[in-house]
Amino acid sequence: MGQGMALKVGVVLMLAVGLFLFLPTVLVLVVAMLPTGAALVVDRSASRSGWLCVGGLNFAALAPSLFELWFENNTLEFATGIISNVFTLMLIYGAAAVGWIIYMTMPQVIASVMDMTSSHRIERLKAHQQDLAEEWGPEVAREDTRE
Amino acid sequence: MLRDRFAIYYQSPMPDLDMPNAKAFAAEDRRQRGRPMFALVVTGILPPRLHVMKHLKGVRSAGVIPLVEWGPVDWPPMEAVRLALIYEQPLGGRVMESMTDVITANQDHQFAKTVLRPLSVALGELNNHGVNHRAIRPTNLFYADAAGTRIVMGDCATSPVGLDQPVVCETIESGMCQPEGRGAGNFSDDYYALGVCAVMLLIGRDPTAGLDDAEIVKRKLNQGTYATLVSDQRVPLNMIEVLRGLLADDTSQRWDFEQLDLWFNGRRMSPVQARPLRRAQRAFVFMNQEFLSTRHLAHEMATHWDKAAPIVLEGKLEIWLRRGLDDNQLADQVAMAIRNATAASERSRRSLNDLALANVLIVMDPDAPIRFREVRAHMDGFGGVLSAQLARGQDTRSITDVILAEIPKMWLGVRESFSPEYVQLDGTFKELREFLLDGANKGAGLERCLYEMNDSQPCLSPLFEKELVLTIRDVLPALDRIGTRMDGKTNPLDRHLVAFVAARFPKEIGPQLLALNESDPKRSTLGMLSLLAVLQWRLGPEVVHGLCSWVGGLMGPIINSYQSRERRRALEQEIPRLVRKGSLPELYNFVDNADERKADFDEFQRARADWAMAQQQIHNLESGQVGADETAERMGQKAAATGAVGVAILSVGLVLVSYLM
Repeated sequence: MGQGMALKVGVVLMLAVGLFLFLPTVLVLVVAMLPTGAALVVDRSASRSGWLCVGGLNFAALAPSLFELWFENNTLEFATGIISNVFTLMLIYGAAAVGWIIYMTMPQVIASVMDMTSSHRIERLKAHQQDLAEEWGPEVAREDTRE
Repeated sequence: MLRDRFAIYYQSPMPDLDMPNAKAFAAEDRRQRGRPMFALVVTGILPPRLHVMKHLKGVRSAGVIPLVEWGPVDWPPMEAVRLALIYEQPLGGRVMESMTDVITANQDHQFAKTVLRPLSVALGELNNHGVNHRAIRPTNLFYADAAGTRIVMGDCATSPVGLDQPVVCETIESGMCQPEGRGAGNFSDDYYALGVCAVMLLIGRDPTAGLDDAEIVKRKLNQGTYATLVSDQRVPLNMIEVLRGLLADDTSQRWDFEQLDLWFNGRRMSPVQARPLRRAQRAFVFMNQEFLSTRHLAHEMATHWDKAAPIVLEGKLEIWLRRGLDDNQLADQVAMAIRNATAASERSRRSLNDLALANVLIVMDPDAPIRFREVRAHMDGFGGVLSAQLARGQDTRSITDVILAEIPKMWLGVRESFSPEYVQLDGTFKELREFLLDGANKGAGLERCLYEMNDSQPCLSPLFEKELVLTIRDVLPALDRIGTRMDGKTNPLDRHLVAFVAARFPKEIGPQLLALNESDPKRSTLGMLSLLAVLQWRLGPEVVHGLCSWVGGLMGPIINSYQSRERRRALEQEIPRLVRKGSLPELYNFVDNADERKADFDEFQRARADWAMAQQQIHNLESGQVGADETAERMGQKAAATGAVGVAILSVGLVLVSYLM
């Protein structure tokens, strides 16, 4: 049996144990973190880091409700209340959507910054070449110039 | 005006005293007015004899017209500089106006004393100066006094040596030559001509008048000169011995000054007898004529060149030499001459025939001139032939063929005795051949041969059409004079000028010539400037403003050879200042400064490296943009993920804190 298979079996066993021991938490997490799971499945980018971005904001929005569950009323009813509250779900899923949007737009923002920087440098280099050509003639650009 | 002393009146020509290559004009010595003189201005296209002028000026003798002064003068009728010679004017005119003239026969018993002796003494004087006259003919003898009692020899310096001599006044060998190819000859040629003149003065006419040149040579060959000129004439008995001596065809028997002097002093010698030629037992038939001696046959073959070649190559001649003349040694030489000629298989059939015949004729008559197709010239006469052909714009191929085919080597090979002169000639013709083979380059080719073979040849550069460049020292002043009116495109060093300088300049100028012939304009311009600078440095003059200004306008390729535009601008600004100084060496040192060149080269290399580096960076940046999207995506995604995780941690932290407080 391979190592991967053992890991998978271990995770399933932990989830099974968790399901019995922390059922309200598992219920909230499973429902609230659905966008993160979806992101993990649909992300085909090279870095495969979309789930982290979505998951980060998704979990940040879930954190108040989850802590309320843990510290005030860790019951199945309270958990059901959380996942059935439309506003809470909108907040949690909205945060996940923002995460996805950020994940989608950040590369363009970075590309624009990089582009601005290199164009300016190329212009400076070309101006330097122009100065050299004016002083030394077009021969300065030829590789086979004699003397 | 010559040397600020002798005025030449070009409005007053004196046609009676004209020479074939020079016109005569009235002249006056400003310091000694009343002294009758005239000037000969060399207006012809053929080169005068410069070294003769140098020596003649010092000669004072009763038998020769005194040369008072000579030198270049501005000549208004031609708007050019020409060579002028100032002579004392002979008051009695020419002895004979033309060779067909009939004059009163000189029956004076004192002829030898009054006519022959002064002329002989004059020749002796010339000989002492190392000069042979080579223009002694009745039409160039003058009566020095109005009474016509004293005869003097006329000018011999305005024409190439021996060129204007009628065949009758030339020895047999010289008569065989074309006039331009007679060469310098030797002193005995002058005594021969003196003998001919004496005959004509004694009988009052040319005994060969009416005969063409070929017939005169033929008769001299067949009968000997004395018999041809004197046998049917009535000459005083006392003159027979001296005429026999002077007209001897054998150079070694011919009288010279010493023997003449003895004779004048009363010593009588045994009469000169012509040495008989070796004759064959049976004749060789050529052109329907029978020949018994090789010399006559060779002369006839040279006259009928195309008909003779096949006969020689078929071997008939060799057989006749063995059986008819019984001269196996000569026959072997002829066979060898033919073999030598036909050994070079790359030549055409006609060339082979020509070369073989030329070689055979040399063997058959070693004293005759070299004969090659229409060329007939002595070894020292090739220069004259080439000079005349170039001056007249004639085809020079036959001369170049003679040199390239190494015919002179054959001539030297059949000499019976050794002479250092032959070694020198051999070296000279080898050099000439190399110049011809290197013909494409300036400083070589036919032009170089011309100046190497003719010491007196003025430079024939088209630039000097109105100038007179006789010596190497005349080059820069002449260029300086014409420099002011030259455009900025004409190169001052054309083929003739470079060849002239290369032949006359005594120092080594190989590197300059090498640079001058480079195809790269910068190098050839530097070569040109360098050569002119060396000339000015070695020979002066101190300043040559006109030439500097001319050459300064041709510096474009040199200026452009510097890469730095700033340096070019600096050079362009500085050159006019140097031009005003008139010093070519300074100009050369400035435009080809080694430190500046090195700095320019080094800085250019650095600039190239800079340019290449910038290019590489641009390339990297531009090619980086192609993958920028991937990088930006990767970086954006990482940043977004990191930010989101951070927000999550912050959020958890805040909530946790709020519960704990």
